[in-house]
Formats: sequence, C-alpha cells, structure tokens
Amino acid sequence: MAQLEIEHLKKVYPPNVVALKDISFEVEKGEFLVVIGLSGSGKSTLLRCINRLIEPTEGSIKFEGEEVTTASSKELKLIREDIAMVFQRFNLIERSLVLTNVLTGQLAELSLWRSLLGRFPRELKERAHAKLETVGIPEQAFKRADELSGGQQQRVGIARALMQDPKLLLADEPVSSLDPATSGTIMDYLAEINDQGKTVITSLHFLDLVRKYGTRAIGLKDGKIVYDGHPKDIDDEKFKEVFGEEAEKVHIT
Amino acid sequence: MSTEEKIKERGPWYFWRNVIVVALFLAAFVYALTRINLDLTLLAKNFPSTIKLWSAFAKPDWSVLGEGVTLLIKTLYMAFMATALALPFAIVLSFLGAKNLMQSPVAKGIYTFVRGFASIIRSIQPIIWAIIFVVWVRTGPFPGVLALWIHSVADMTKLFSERVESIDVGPMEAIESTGAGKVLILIYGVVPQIINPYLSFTLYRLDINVRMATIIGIVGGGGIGMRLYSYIRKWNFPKAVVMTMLIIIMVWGIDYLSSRLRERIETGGGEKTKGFTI
Repeated sequence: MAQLEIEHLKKVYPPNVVALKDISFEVEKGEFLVVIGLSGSGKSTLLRCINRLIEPTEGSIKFEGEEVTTASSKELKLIREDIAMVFQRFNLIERSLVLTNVLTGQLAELSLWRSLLGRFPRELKERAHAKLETVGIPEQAFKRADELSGGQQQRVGIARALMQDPKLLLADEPVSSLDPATSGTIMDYLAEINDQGKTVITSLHFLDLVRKYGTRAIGLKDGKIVYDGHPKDIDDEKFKEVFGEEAEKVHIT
Repeated sequence: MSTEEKIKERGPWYFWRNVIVVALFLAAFVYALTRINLDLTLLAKNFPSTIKLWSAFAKPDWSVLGEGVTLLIKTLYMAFMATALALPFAIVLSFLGAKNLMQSPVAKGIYTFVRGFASIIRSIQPIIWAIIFVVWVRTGPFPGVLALWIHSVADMTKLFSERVESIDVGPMEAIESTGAGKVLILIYGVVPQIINPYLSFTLYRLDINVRMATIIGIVGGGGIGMRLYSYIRKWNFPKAVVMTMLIIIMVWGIDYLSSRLRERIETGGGEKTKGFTI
C-alpha cells in the first residue's frame, strides 16, 4: 500500500472553473515528489486538496490507508497532524515571536486552555528551539517574525512544520519568493527532511531544482497530469509539453 | 490606439463635462444664497449684545470650579462606561459582520443583518439617540451613556469588521493545516492581526465619546454639558465660562493622550512603523 493514494481527484471552483480533472497517482513513503507546471495549472490546488485546505469536488485521497475526503472534522484534524505544510508566502504570524510561530506547529496537541493562554510546556519550547537550530537560526527565536528576511522566514516555516513531526511534508512553491542562493539552502533543508524518511511533495518552477532534488516529477497542465516519471527523463520535448511552446525562453538551468 | 490618442479622442467631452459640473455647482450655490438670508451686517450691528459673554471670559466665577471638576469626572465616567460596555458587543458583532469569515448562506444572512443594523444605528447621531433615551428614561447620565453606548457599538462594529475583512488569511491557513480547530485558528491566526487595531480603535472611540458626552448634556444627557447649558440659559456667563474652560482642557487632554497611545500601539512600541492609521 502506498502512503498516499489519489484516485480520480477533481476540483471545480464555483461556478465552473475546473482546476483539477481526473487526477490519479500514488506516492510511496520516502519519495521526493516535485509537481511542476505553469501558474494556474492546478499545483497549489492539488497540494491543498491533500490536507483539505481546499475541499475536493470528487474522487478519493487515501493517506496511510485512511480516506481524507470523507473524514469527519475530528478525523481530519488527526490526519493533518501527520501532514505538515510549508507555504510560498511563509504564512507566519508576523507580529508574533519567531518562537511562538514555531510552537503553533504543535497547537493541536496542546490542551485548549494552554493554547488559549499561550502557556507552552517547557519541553515544547525546548523542542522549538531545537528545530530553529536545525534550520540554522537559533539566535532569531525572540525576534518578531516580520523582522526576518524572506529566507529566514521560510526557515521558520520549515521549523514550524518540523514541530509537527510529520510523515508527509507539503511544500507549496517554497522558494518562489526567494532569491536563487537562498532557494538552494531552503531546498537543502527539504532534502535533509526527506533523507530522514519523510515524504516530501513540493511544487517548483525551476527545472534545475527539480532535477537536483526530486526523485520523481509530475507535470500538470490545465489540471491534468501530462508527465509522471523521473526528473532526469524530462527532455526538452517533455518540458515543452508541460510548459508550452513559449517555455524555452524561461528555461533557466 | 495610444494613450495620448485616447485622451485626445475624449478630450472635448471631458472638457464640457467639467464645465457642466462646475456650472451646476455655481448655480446651486447662488440659489442657496437666495434662499438663506446671510445678513452679514447683523454680525456688526448686534455685536454689543455679546459683550456680556466676552467679559465673562475675563471674570470667570471660580466658585463653581469644584462643582465643575466633579461634573467633569462624571462626564469622563460616562464616556468610559459607554466605551467599555460597547467593546464586548462590538468584538462579537465584528466577527459576525466580517464578510470573509461569514461564508455559508446562513452566515451571509447574519453578516448582512449585522452590517445593516450597524450602519442604520451609526447614521443616527449620538445627540439624536440622547433625545430618544431622555424621552425614554428621563434626563441624567443614564440616557447619555445609553446614547453613547449604542452609537459606539455600531461604529466600532463597522471599524472592527472592516479590519477583520482585511486580514491576511495565510497564517489562518497555516494553523489550520497543523490540525488545529476553529478556536485556535481564531486565537493564533486572527487575534494577533487585529488586537492592536482593535485597541487603537477603542481608544479613538473613547476620545470621540468624551467629546460627545459634553454635547449630549445639552439635550439632557447628564454630565458637565447639561450644567453648562443650564448656565447659558440663565445668562450666567461667568459660570458657563468655567465649565467651557474645563471642557476644553479635558477634550484637549484626552485627544492628546489617545493619539499618543495610539501612535505607540500602531508602531508596536515604537520599533516599526507598520499597519494603519485612522
């Protein structure tokens, strides 16, 4: 049984914008799957359907054998604890401390009153500090999140995701808001997480990053899978199929 | 077609439209002048009758100072009570009146009702509310507080709701993705984004309420304004002047304090200039 099984997934945004049509694929534990495609091809929608930040219209998503699409809100919360997410715009609470941001990764496991009062147990705080150390910014813990640079903010996003100790990490264009050098660092952290046996599903724009980090690539075009295979096998022809004839101009390697 | 050509194309129409607008405005102004008697000579002719008033500023009757200060404090209490009592109502209503949080059909109905209610209440000035409540519960501070309270609830609800509508959904999405429930999403995803604006709006509203509390006294809403008005009616200007001075000092003081505090809140303790100003 694959860790993630997606069958006939379809997403229609009201009134009638079809974002995903009949998507089916499986992901094995430990894969580093890269989803590629133009803006609007359905990458973000696909990633968000997996943890139901976006409600799928039709089809089935099974994570570790459990059906996600029909899970009750309680079941869904438990599934989400195992699936962490990293975002293109980092999605940090800007006015809160970096440490608090990392700790929010663990909210679901805290008692409600502790969460309400923001009283995190010491061991959790120590874990949060440790995660910040993992991503190389232990000294930023007591700064406000919006004081950090983009690259540092994304590291906080990764630390927050690591707090969940997830089995699957979804990264929605994690480096699209960053410069190339910072992008490499962030991708290295994702690779490190992947080396520890956690599955990574990420969407990327640049083919060189796809080839360097991915163990598998899925190409989306107009909500359909047009490529599924090893990143190294994406030749110019395949690339054009995914990104269109115009793509050559933006082919940066 | 280039932009320049477009401008040329619609040039004459733009020109004549502006001429028509200005002409209509001038016509309205002239017509209004003929309907309302602006007899400037009256200002000069009747000036002597105000001498009693001006001379009172030179000789205030300080015997009412103690009474005035007591009333001033009472007026502050009225404004403070009205604001404090309005705050919890406005907080709850602001979430119900925020379009981005109210998405289901039922929720949309609630949203429409809350915002409609708020704009109707808001469009009626506090002084009108004071008249209504004076008729209802008789004169005194109580109807004054009620009037300020109801207008504050509506005003704060509108301002708060608009703030909630402009929040960044990113943090909410991130917290939802960790498996946290609705309450936690609200506490961690929404509250940090709105707490400072809410505080700031509340201080601003307190500022307005202090000013309004002095005015609504005139229609029987209690406080220092009510006493001021009774002295004016008795032509006791030396006493009225003392009340006026006290009001000016209080309004100036609260205005200054409120804006200093708001400045601090909005800049997050003076570190960063972020967010908004009123």
